[in-house]
Amino acid sequence: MNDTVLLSMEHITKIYGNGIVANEDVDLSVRKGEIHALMGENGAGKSTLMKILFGIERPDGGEIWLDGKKVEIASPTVALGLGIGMVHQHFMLVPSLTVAENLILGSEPVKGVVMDHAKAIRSTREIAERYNLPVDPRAKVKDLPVGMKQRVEILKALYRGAGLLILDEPTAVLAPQETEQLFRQLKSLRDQGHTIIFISHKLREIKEICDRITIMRSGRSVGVYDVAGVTLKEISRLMVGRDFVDKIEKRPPSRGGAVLEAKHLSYGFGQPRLSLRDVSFAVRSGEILGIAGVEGNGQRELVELVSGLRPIEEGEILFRGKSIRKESILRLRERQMAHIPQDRLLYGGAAKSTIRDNLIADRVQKREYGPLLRMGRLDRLCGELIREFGVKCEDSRNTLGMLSGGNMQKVVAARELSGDVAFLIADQPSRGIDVGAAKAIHQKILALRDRGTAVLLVSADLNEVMELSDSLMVMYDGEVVAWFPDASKVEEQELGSYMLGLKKQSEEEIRGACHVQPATEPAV
Amino acid sequence: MSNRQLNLLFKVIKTMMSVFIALTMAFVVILLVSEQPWAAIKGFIGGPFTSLRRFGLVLENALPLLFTGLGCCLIFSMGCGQIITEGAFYFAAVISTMVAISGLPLPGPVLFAAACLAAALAAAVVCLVPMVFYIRWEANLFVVGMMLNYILLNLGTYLLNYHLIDPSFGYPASYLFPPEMKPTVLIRGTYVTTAVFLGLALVVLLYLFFYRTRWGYNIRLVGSNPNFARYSGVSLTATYLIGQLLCGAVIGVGSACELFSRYDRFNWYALPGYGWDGILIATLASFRPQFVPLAALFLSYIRTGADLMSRQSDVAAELAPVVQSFMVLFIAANAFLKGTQQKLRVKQSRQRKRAGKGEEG
Repeated sequence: MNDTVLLSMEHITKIYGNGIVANEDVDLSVRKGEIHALMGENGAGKSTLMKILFGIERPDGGEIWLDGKKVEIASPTVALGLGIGMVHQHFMLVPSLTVAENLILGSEPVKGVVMDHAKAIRSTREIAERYNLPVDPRAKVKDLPVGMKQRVEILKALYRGAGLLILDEPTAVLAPQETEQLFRQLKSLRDQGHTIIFISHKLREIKEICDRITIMRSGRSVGVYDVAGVTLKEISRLMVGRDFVDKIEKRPPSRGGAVLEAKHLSYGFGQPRLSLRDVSFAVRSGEILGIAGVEGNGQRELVELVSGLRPIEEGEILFRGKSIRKESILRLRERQMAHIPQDRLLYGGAAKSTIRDNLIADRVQKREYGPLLRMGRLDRLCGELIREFGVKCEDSRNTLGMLSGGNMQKVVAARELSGDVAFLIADQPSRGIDVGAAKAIHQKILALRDRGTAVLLVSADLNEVMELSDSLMVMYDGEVVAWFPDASKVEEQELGSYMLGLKKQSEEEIRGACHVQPATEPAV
Repeated sequence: MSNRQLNLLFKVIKTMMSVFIALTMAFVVILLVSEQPWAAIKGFIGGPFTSLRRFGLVLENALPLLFTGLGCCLIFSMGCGQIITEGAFYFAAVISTMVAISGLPLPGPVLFAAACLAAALAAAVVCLVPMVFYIRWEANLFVVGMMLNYILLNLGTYLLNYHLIDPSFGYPASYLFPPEMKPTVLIRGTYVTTAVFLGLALVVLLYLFFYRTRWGYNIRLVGSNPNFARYSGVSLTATYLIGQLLCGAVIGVGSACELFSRYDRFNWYALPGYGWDGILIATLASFRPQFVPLAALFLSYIRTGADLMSRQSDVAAELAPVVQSFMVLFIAANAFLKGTQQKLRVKQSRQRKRAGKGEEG
């Protein structure tokens, strides 16, 4: 690493169509050959800044200097031409094509009028070898594990001659072992003279591989620091403006009878492989059962089965002692089931509806508020929820889409965590939101659990699932591979090996997850 | 100014600009084709206001637009744009004719009410058909509706030719409607009748339905994000059926009002086109019932003006569709004036920030 400045973004300003000031007078200066961390809460403006750098968004003000020259980055094509590559959080790969085909997509080598397949495979091999990122050029992308897909994304950027790589939260989707591997690869890329901008929420990762760090807070850059010179505590203070407690304070659980039982659930018949295989467990009142696992191992299907969004194919789910097979979602909600879905704009809310309409969506269906809507009561409820959950909005008649991710999630949480809840499904409740909002949501979930709610927590965030859960289950490839009665006694590395399918508990140990006698309705 | 107000302001400005541009285009056309352009423009813009009778024409033409516009608000709000409204409007007229000439020994107003009710039921059933196809077999709403429209037209023509026709009358039309059932004329020399009040009452009712009842709320929610609606416990099937039924009922009543206000006999041998107009009106009103009367009046004003102009000058009434299409083009174009709006937004939020900083110290 030397001190030559490769990239400098000066006074960048960006205001989105919904009036949110994503970037305000932001400066970023990256040296040649360093791994530069970009940190900040969600909604701090990191992604926007990177989208501007990669030509996806146009800034409303400011200048970008690359290698001492002022540049206008009007589109990703321009960015690629300037040697800027981006690895997105959601991979931009074509699943049905092979690795080699994905790599050369958009700049295909040709022989006459047809694509030169042999050459594509040859260049894939070459570039993989040069950067020591081995891949199988003939493998279909859809068959690859997540870590490998990410590697293809990185190779794709390198293939196009990127000297400056932007990685947007690359570790969010990786298991601990895969993360370590990625870090080794990034370090080796740096040693070969590449410059990397690394976006992350995870303090420890940044400490581990980054050289310098730019911290952003509410659309502005707070400062640039040498990573070696600051402690984790300082970084987190700079980021959120207060000390960030990694530990979640909670009382020991007082467990009651089973509120929700899943029995021998299998799902995905007719697909190449089942997404759930013989899954059984029970969630008792007053406890949080966490499901850890790398994403895409059946958690999504499980959540949608339990919440009634998908029909059960095989097996049984009992909610308060009664099968949910014949129950409508409305009926399940009337019987006090609540659900924070992982995708807040797919199931969690309607971006085009007002914040108010989003907050009352489930109440409107209830007898006490309708069918002729009691507007006074609904408005009061709406005001209370906004205050209680600290939703930052100008006006509850604004559309949900105008809010930042964290505030949208607060709206979803406010709706689902208020009122009487016997059973809560919290699916990635704090994904992509800032520490403050996440903490608030965690506190609310704990408060519900202390009042006797049974909680099923699904999370890919290790810190969240380990800290918040009372008991812990691990899912791998559609199966429950481990069950821990006490989540606080679980080692991170051990959990990692279960999550990656390296280890599996015995049948008896796993069967512990469906322990108790079923309780009937009045017990809750 | 808050961001919401800014967005609202821009919606208003956008609509007014669209109207302005559309009218300008109309003037350009007039200047190009007319020998006496000033007379034509005067007739077009001022014509409807030159007498009470002429203004009555505007009201008269607005009424069917009001009803179909309201109906389209319902189905478009739930994200189910379709054209079955056309066939429903037509078929409701056939059914209400049957009731009207049935010779039932009822007092006039009761007969009128019965005909309206029958029309509402018939149109509601018609509107249900494509929705049932969609829910049961995922058939395309628009295509099924379109096909059904032709079937209904042929069925209606058959009924008219073989069952309703008055053989003693000079041209093909049904038997005469009993005069005592016809709604009272409010403005002499026009067909503006008491049916106007029915239309206005429906506007209020639908407004309350949209914003004050669970079903109305659910219709809006389903249109905004059906997945979210389902997740919240809304039955999509029930909501779609309710929306469709109500749309049909409103359109049916509208059809009967139009028929008994303006005609003495039923003689429609073609689809009336009000179903399409309904889409136009609902779009102008951004699918909100409270804005439908305004949109209907405005469109009717343009059409009536064009009609009056064609009678007084050498410009054809076909100018109205030109104005109409330009307006809709600009209003429906999302990106129109987007750049200006963005610039204003940037300026505004800078000011807000500065003001905020002052407070924070």
